[in-house]
Amino acid sequence: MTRYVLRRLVQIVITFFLFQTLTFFLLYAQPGDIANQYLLNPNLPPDAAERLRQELGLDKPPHLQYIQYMKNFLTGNLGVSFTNYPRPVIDIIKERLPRTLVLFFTATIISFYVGFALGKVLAWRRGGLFEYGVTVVGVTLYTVFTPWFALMMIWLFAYKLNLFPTGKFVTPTLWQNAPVDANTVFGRMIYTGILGSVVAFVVYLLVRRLPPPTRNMSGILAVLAGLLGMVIPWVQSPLARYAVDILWHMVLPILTLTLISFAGTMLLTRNSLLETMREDFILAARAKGLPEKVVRDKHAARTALLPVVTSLVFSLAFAIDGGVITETMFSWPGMGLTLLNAVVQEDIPLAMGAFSFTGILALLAHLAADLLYAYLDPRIRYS
Amino acid sequence: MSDASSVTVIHRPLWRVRLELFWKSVRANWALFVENPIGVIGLAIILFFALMAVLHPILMKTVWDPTVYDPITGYDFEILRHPAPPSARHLLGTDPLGRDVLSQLMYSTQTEFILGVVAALITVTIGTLIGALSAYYGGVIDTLFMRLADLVIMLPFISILIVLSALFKLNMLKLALVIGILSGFGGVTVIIKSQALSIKVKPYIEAARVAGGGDWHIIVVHFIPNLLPLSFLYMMFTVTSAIFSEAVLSFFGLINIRMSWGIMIHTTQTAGYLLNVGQYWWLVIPAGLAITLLCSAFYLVGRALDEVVNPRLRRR
Amino acid sequence: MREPVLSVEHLTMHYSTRKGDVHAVDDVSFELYPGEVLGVVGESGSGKSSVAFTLMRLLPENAHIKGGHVWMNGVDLLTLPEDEMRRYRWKRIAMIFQAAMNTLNPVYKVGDQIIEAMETHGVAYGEAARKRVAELFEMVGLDPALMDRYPHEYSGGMRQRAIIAMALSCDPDVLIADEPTTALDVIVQHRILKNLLQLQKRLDMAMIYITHDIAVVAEVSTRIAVMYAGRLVEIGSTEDIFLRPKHRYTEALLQAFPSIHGEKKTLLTIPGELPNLLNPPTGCRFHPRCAFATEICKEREPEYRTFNPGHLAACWHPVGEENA
Repeated sequence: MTRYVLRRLVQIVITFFLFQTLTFFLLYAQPGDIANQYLLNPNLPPDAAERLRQELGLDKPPHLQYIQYMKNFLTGNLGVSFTNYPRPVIDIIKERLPRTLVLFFTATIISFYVGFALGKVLAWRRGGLFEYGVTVVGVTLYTVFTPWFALMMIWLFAYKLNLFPTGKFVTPTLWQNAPVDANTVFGRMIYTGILGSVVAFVVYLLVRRLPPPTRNMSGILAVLAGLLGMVIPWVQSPLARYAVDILWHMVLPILTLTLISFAGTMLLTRNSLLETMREDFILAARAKGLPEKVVRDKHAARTALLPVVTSLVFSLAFAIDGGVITETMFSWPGMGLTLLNAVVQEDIPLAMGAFSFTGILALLAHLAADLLYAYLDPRIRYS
Repeated sequence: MSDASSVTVIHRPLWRVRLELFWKSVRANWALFVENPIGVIGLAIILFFALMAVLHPILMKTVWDPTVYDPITGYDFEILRHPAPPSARHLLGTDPLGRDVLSQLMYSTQTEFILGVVAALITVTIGTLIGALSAYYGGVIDTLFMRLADLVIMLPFISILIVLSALFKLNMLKLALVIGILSGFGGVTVIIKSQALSIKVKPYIEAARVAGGGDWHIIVVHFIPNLLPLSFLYMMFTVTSAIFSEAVLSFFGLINIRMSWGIMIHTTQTAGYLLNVGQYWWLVIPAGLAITLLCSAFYLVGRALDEVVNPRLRRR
Repeated sequence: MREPVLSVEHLTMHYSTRKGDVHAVDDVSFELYPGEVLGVVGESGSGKSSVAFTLMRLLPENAHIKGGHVWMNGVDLLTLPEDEMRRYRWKRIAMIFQAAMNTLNPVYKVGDQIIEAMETHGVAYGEAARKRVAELFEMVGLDPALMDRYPHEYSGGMRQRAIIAMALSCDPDVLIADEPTTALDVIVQHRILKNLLQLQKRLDMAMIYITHDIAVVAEVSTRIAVMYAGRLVEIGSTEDIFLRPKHRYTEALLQAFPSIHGEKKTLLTIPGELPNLLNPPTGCRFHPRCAFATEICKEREPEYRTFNPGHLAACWHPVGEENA
């Protein structure tokens, strides 16, 4: 296990350098002098431009520029945003990255769970009208034109039904007299979210050790404990209503992201299950006289989960893209919206910074999926 | 049949035998394909859109007056307020600039098909070639391309395209090229390589080598034809991702294309009608639906082909 | 004679495929008595494994039981509702599968997979179940400490032993062993076989031992059933089958293997191949490959004839009646 994890870590670091090199090449290869892009930008005062020139090493030959570029990146110096001058890019990213992370992880976990559950049902009821119906709906949502779909969601849920806000991070009128700013509240929400997850995990591990009837409820109990862990710290807090406001703004983007990505997991689960069902150990499990539900949920689904997690890698990049689009449509001020706005306004430092971090997010998500796989597969966990 | 035909086979040229075998397998696979309603639905949708693409120039030459119905430069002076709702004159209404929506929709279909097919061809050519080479030679070539593929798989595709469109001004062909190259070096290569590896250990490869077949001969004659079904399958998925990416970029106004479904929605957005879907549905629904439908259709066909090419998924 | 534990009557099972029905098991009848080992022998594709899976009702979706009965304690297993059949599996009839490597689920500990079976049938729970696994492991010659390991940490032989332990865990009345040693090397094969037979005697189980290896069948069985192309062509005591075979297929099969008694004789191969079960030959199914076939073999299916008490064969020209 340790060796596997170490190897993955080394691989991810190498991939990261490959990726950074690629971004440098893109910048360098773009038509027109990158130095001019920076220096001729009307938003920059002339003295700032000269300072930038030296900081970025734009007066040096390409290989030194590359070293400077990497050094700057590793020390967190991503330059200054043109459009938010003089705010450093890293500052903007620090503010927006957590928002994207929360959106992305919540939606990924929900859509994975929903997709896996539906995929199981699909594999079990092969050939029925149900299968075709769910497959068509799922594939339609999976291949739906995301911006358009987000628009429809906004139109339906925000305009017609007036259930959720049309977008953005908070309701400005509510926050006018707020004692703290939105980022502080959001930061605390993340901490309680982590706290809740830890509580849920501990409860799960503890309940698993109990005798059978209680053991079977480990999942439900863990979720309940986790929710309690997340809610209790807020009950007495005067900030609770602000937190609720942020949550309220999160619902629609998360729902949209979930809907567009669950079908990937669903179809993978179905195929993986259908292949697992042909394995001899499934036949053996049936021969043992296990009830069909146990064969399906305990033997087939648990084993079929492995290839699904492997293939999750493919859908992660897809989900991040979905996130970029969804954020933009909902004006959710995260990395995606930042990237797109920067590109539209030709704010190249900010665009490259946002892109680098989107890439890092993808790499880390990939690593997480790999580690999850190693944990789930005893052949790796115990070797 | 085995004895009789094996004697006659000798007298026929090899290419004809190959062609006949190929045709036979196409027919067998077709029979499997049509059994799956999902694939047939997808194919029907694709044919419907193909018909739209073909009909557009015909309509422009016969029924539609170019000054009114041209998808880019047309304008209908007889209607005072644009966008106008659907009428007998404009079946899907007009856009904020006074152009016919149906004509735009049909014209864009051509764009999408060209883009999709060009991107898919590039992807599959690169993917098949590199997959075959990596499997055949292994070693450094293999490691290099597989690492590269890992990177491409991990990176969010559309985000790359968004950044690229900021750095380079992309038009449709450049976009098709970029999409084709990016996806060609990505997942397709890995999958085709693993298939090629299973071909590599087949006895006829050894036989071909013993018979003095050169590397290229073996790759071209034995690897590629056996990889084609899989390549064809991944063409479908590439078309989906190409059309989708183009629509997203057009929608955000990031590429330089004269007309496409994404541009249609973009125009609606810049004119400020985007959130009035209920009132101005014809500006958003047809284009959005078209993108979704065509993407789904290629994806569905791809999945149905998957069940044909990949026997493990077959029911019997 | 004792009452049979299992009595199979006119069992017929077809697989429906794209090309038509495969007649995998056709009108097979036999009885299994307590404490005996019935060897079922035949070439691969002769339907011997299909019989086993039909007895357990573990058939794929496209399999259809066309007729027959499987009596156990006066109950016809073929008419039981699925949920009751489930209770018979493993508790009354357990099975050792052909593919030892894949019979264990790779993501669960071996011991837990055995405990699961016992808990399902109410044989033992919790600590008691663990204790029983330890005993079973010792019986089959495995270190009880291995029960908390995963299948990938086992060798092929160890896995097969674990599977035997699993099969014995609920103390079944009937044990079906479907080529249990094929994937193993010869020495391990022999050891496991010996162990299995010892356990069968000690626990006084009835066992159906399915194999294509006539040498093994001679070693293990008290009675032998010979299958060909979905039909049971001859059944009798091991002595009857080996010393006085009646069916021409049995005779050919014996001639295709070196004699177990070490006497010198010419090894013969059976010409031709197993018929296509989509469209089985008319009359006696062996007639296209049989050197003694005549017109009647093509036209009419032979009936079973009793040659000795318990020794039946279905052949128009049985061995020893060349002039008939």
